[in-house]
Amino acid sequence: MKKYLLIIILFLAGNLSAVKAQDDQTGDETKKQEKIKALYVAYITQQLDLNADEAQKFWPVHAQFETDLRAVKSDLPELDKQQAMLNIKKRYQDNFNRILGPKRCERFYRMDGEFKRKLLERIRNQRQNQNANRPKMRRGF
Amino acid sequence: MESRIDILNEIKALSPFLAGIEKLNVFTVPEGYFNFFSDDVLAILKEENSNIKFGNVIHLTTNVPQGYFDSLAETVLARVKEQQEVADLNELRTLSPMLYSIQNENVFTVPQGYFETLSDNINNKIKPQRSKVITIGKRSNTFIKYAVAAAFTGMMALGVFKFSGSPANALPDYVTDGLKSHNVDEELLQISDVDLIKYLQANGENVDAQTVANQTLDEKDLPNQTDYLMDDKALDKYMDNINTNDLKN
Repeated sequence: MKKYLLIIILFLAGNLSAVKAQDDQTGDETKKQEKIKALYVAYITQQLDLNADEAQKFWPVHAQFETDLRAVKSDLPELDKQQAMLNIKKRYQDNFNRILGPKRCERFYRMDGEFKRKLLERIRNQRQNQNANRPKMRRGF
Repeated sequence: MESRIDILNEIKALSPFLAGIEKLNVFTVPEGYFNFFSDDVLAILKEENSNIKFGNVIHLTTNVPQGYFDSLAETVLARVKEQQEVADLNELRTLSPMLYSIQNENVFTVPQGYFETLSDNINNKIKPQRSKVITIGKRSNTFIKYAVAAAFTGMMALGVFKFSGSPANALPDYVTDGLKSHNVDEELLQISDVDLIKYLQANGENVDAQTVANQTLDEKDLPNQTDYLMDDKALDKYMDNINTNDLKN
């Protein structure tokens, strides 16, 4: 009897540590991604001037919106992929309209793209700065 | 006195001769004869048969086999016993033929050496049963019980904490984080390219192609040393070119 109990305890403990180890492994990665997501939230909130009540309604819907977008297969032909993503964006338009109103809904879709461009720009700038032998540059924007 | 007369009369009737004899002891011995009788007899015997010993009387009977008397008692006893047994059996036969048919045999048999190992066998059979006895109420047992209870409670608490998730109307962690004040541009600088690219790719952006294309374009179109000699405005022209490209994106 004692033996069995010991085995169960060890098994559970092993399980727990395995889960924790997995968490640690993926945790670092997801943490960084979460950080970028948080910056996205901050950016959109600033751009749309969301108040607390609106944020409470908007972000859960947006989380579903994002999940749907990420579910689009990345290996589709480019136009099919864009079409699929566009369909999803259109599907959510009514929802966002209700929460934000038509004007800020428009702005959300624009700012959503703007954030991605911001990231791309940031990547590009970094690379240019890394190039030591490059002549002094004027910043593009 | 009368009885003596009666006896006399009876004797007369039976044997007149006896009755006619006077009541006298007809045998006489010299005085003191018996006083020395035994000594006299012995003396006479010694004198006449000085060569005879009493042991020799037995010795003289030559037809007795040697050692006959050593086992005589036993043989006699054995024969008596035998006779007795036969007599017993005969008696039994008349009384109960069934018992007679059983004879004197022991009808119960055991394997050889059965009783020598019997006690060990019994002990061996008893021992395993004894090992199954479970003693209750020992301190170590209760400790394990509590340990298991604690472990399970811990598991359950952890499970509730880990898998129940947050309440329905609570925002995801990244949203609550994002709703705090941020300087987006500043903080973007602290995030590595790799992570940004991963994020963009996860959101369906074809980042690798764009950035790589951008970079190869940069390397290729960079003015080389001779360009600077030919035209001192080479760099400015290049920069203008890049800026327009960026704006197109």
